[in-house]
Amino acid sequence: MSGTVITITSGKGGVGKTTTTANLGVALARHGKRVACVDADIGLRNLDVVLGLENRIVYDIVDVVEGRARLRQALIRDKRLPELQMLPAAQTRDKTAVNPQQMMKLADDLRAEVDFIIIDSPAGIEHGFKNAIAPADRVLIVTTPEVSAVRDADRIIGLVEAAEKPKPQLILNRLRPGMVKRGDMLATDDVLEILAIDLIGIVPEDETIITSTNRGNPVAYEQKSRAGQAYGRIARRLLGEDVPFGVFEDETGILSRVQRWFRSPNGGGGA
Amino acid sequence: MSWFDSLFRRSEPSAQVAKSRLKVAIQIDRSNLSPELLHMLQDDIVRAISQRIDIDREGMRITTERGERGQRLIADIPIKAVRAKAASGE
Repeated sequence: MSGTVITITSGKGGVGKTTTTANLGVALARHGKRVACVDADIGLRNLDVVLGLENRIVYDIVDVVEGRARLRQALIRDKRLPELQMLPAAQTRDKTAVNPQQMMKLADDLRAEVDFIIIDSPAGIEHGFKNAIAPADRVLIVTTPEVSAVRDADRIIGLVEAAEKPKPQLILNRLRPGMVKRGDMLATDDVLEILAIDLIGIVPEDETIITSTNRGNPVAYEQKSRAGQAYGRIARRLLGEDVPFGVFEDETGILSRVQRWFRSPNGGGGA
Repeated sequence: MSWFDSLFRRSEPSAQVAKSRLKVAIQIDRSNLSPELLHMLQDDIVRAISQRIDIDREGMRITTERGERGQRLIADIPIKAVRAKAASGE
């Protein structure tokens, strides 16, 4: 059996590529799939801290490509979830340290080891992006409902098509249903109409992402939070399950306010 | 519109503004044609067509679209009146 390579990309920085990579890795591993998350952002390593594995790095992707380390030596296994492994980016090199042919070879070696290889692409449309999509069997585009992010997503979709990759699918990240309802944020349908690609998931804005990243503990480990549940649904769709796209509750709704009041330690407090 | 209407009239929702701005920006991004080149093309087309028919220059729109088989130039040109010389087939 041979693993599937999924590349997570966006064009614009800061829309949640690394968070998406980490959480989809966790969510797929929770389904018992063997997963390797690969940080392709050479020089700006980050997937390690989001996954909470930063203290265990010995070798990195460039060591593997240049033959100083074997793949199995460089992969870091998550002790909380043994199905999940991570290949870190090099921190002291730049994006030209790896070329697309080397990425293809690396991905082929990983395909023999795991069921899913999730590649975290760097921002931009240059060398690092080309490396990240070279071995991709599937491409997931992450965008937020903002003009700058959607515009960059459109550029990336064009480049993915030009590279003759399968049609990418969209993850709409950090959606705020209350703002959409008020007409103050682009709605899912608006973004889909503009980009003309298929949706694979909507992740609502969720403060839990920040607190979980603070701890290096992706939300998908425990799917209690709204974002954690959303990643769980995307993972099931990646596995071929037909999961309907639900409507999110307004985060300012009376019910969630009451829930938050009970949840917060001092009762109420902030809005 | 009365003062009463204007008092309660809401401006266009910002999401709508975002959507229309994005559509225009992306249309330009998708075409490799610069806005200047599109303007020049528009002038050329106006000059050619105006010899035969009266067109509404203000309502005219030249855009490009990225389709399955590459790029297409789309001209939307409102007609005012067909001139006599066009009708006579001169």
